[in-house]
Amino acid sequence: MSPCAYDSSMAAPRVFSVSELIRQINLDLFKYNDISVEGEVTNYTRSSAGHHYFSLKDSRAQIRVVFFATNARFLRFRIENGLQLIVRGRLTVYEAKGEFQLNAVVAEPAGLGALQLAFEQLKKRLAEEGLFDADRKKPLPMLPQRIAIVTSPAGAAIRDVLHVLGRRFEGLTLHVYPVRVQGANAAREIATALRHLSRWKLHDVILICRGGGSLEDLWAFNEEIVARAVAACEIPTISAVGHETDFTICDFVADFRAPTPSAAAEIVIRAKSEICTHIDHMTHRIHHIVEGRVRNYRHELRHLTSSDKLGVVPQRIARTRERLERRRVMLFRLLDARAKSMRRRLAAFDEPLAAYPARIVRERQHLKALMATLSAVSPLSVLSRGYAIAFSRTRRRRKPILDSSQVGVGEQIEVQVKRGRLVCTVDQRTLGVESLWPETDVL
Amino acid sequence: MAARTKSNEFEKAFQQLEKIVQRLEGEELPLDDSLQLFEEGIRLSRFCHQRLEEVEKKIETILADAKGQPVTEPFDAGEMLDEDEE
Repeated sequence: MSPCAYDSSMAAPRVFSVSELIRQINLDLFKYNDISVEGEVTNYTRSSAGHHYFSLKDSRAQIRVVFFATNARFLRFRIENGLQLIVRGRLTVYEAKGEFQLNAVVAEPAGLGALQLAFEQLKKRLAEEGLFDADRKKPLPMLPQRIAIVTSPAGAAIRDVLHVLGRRFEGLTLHVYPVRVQGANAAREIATALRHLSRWKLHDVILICRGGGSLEDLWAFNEEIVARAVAACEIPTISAVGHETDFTICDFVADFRAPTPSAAAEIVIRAKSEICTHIDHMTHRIHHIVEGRVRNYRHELRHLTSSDKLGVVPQRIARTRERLERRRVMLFRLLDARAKSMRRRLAAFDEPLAAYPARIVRERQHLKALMATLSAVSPLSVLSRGYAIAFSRTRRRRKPILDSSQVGVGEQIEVQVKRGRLVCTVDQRTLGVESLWPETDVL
Repeated sequence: MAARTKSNEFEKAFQQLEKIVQRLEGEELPLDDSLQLFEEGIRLSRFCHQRLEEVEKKIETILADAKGQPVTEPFDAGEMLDEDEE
């Protein structure tokens, strides 16, 4: 090892100004005038003027990238951190900072195509916003009869739709809203058409159609402006873009996705013919049910009137009448028996009763005899013959005077004659003198 | 606007018809009631069929005029293919 690092005999190196050096390097970097670099995007920012600034990095190194708006306006996808990007451009040193930087002209995602990436990005973004949510989907009207179709009037889609409708579209009105379905203005025209149709509200359903094509061809239907117009549309939409395998953002936002324009037309036709069939079915059902019921009633009625069901009534009446008759007979029999028994009991009295008149005569004769006797012995009969009865008055009880000693001289006596009574004073009396008549004659 | 209202009318009639069928199928109704429902059902069925055929069959193009109002004209199905497509 020499004591000195630099050989003093050698000419001293040229001294550059910083600017000179950077300019020189930039000249030297001309061989990196058109290079492509792949790396992961980091530190991404976007200026208000639309310039994109970021770094590309791999595991060991990184490089600044500037993507000016003039070039970046053709970008279809969004640059974001973490994105694996292939940037094509010119390598320079940024004089103000003395930093390497890549002036991007074109950027493409590594792996996927740019459109594919743009599609995925928009899809993700709108999904997060909820634009594809099932609860945003409007139901198809039951009977779509006034149909608007947003498509190219000369494209394959309208041909297919008309072919499917063919002669079957009795009761359908089809309005074709002509738009370009590809090219620079296509997305704007489609969005405008949807806005008008939504405002007019003349239709039951809107078909958004385009025939098959490449991702590039179908691109208008993947643009945000179309997606937003479909989301805002107040009339139910059916999106039918490309072939069965093609999915567009428009398909996701629309209320329905039909795999092809023909299929969209089928949906409309089928809705109508299914309704027709259903109505016919229901009409048939109610005919059937009601006819069946009427038939049943008629049958039951016949059954009721003819046989046992209603026949029960006269039967019951007859039975009741019979029972009544039996009771009546029973009652009569009972009354009869009762009367007989009464009569028998009455007859029991007859005999003693029949004896009564004879007995009365006999008793009456007896009584008469008694009366005769009675009147014969009565004092009254004696009086009527001129006898009189004398009573003493002094005694408490009137007493017939049988003995003259019963009264004193001067005493008063009563004398009963046949008619009336005399009060007499005894002037004289004779004691112990026999009566004029034998004793036996007195009473 | 008119188109939408008419659709609703149709849907109402249709649903009513469905309800009538359900009631007739499901309930033990007095005969008078079922006959009344039947009449109503036939009326609704006729109405629905009428509605199904009533829309005029036509194809037109529709566009917004300068004021944003709809303008229709007959659709010429024989038009040239759009240069953009195919």
